[in-house]
Amino acid sequence: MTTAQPLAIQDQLIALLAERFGLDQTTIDPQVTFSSLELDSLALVEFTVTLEEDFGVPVDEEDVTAENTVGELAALMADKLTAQGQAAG
Amino acid sequence: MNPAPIVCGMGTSIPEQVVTNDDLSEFLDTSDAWIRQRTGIRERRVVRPGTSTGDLAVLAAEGALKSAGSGEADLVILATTTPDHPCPATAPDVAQRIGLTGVPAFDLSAVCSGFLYGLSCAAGFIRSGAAERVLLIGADTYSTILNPTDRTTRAIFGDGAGAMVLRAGHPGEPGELAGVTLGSDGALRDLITIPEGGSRHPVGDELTAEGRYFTMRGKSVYRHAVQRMVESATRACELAGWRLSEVDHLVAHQANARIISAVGERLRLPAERCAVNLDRLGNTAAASIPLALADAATAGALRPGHRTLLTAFGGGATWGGAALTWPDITPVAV
Repeated sequence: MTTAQPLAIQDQLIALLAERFGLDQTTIDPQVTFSSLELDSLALVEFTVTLEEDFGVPVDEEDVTAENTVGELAALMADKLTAQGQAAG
Repeated sequence: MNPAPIVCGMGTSIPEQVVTNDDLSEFLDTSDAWIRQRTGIRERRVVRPGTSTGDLAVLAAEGALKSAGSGEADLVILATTTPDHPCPATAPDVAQRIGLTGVPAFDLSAVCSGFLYGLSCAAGFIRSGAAERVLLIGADTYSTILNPTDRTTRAIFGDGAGAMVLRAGHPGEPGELAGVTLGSDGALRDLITIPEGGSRHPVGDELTAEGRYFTMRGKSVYRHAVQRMVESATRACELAGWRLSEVDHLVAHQANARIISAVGERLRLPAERCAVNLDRLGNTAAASIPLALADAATAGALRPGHRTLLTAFGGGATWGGAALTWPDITPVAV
């Protein structure tokens, strides 16, 4: 059974956010919400597409909202990856 | 060997009336900065009352026939979501007005993918020998179906028409349409819709004020559009036997500047190879691809021999991609 590691995923999310939206990686911590990163609604949708492409799991628009923190999203992605690993046997 | 479809003429027509973002913010809760940041649009063209989709289509068609050097065509296809009447189709009227009475003419409904669906039809008629010269028009007047109080759709859409003439020719000729791919998914029917006024909720029923207008779920559209446009552009490129790195221009449906850049980025095409004219015209639905092609050609960015990739996503949902080598033609604006 595969268990995805939230901390590793968190680091990956922070790196992705910094790369895609030109943010300073050092300003993004797990408690920060997407609204405080000043990402508008289309940027969040763009980020869900990127997450699907990079992680290979379905991500809904509702999974990435302005109120979510980076840490919450990392935990959710870890759950999705673990579920996918279990489904794959 | 079957004949190949060759692009041999282009024409365009846009209304004179310009509506800027500042004009919209006078009566809607929006601003120039908000619209530009989310869409890349600065202004759009809008018809004056009394001007119809067919009127714009006639002008664009006349331009395309002039550009092609002949008034002849043996098939007229009009891609539109905003026909002059719910019934009959607008294409026969347009054909008659441009001197093509008697020629088969039909409307094609695939919303913002309409021009690519039309290209595929034109190519099929030519390859099979059923037509030798096809006039394909993409024309829309979304200003006639938008909810006046919807700041999102009002900011995005503009009116316009673009037309193309395709003739039967030989494979490998400049202007050859080298590959087309189409797709659809009816499960996404509610993403882009005019909910009422069709047979599901007929005009005889009590209609709601909102339901008669065009609606769009922008965020979901964004997501599906990026994915499907990337897929279909890639597939069209494969059908033409090209590598993506060999593509000179991506002319994507002008939906939103951020969709175009997300698609270009995923296809690894630099921004200078991705045509953008929505800053001046907004999203003109079925007209957007021919208008963007004509603008790029007129500006000298799109030159004869350039490998050009087209892609669109629209209501239905529908999507498509096409690959063509740009011919030595001069688009005519009317």
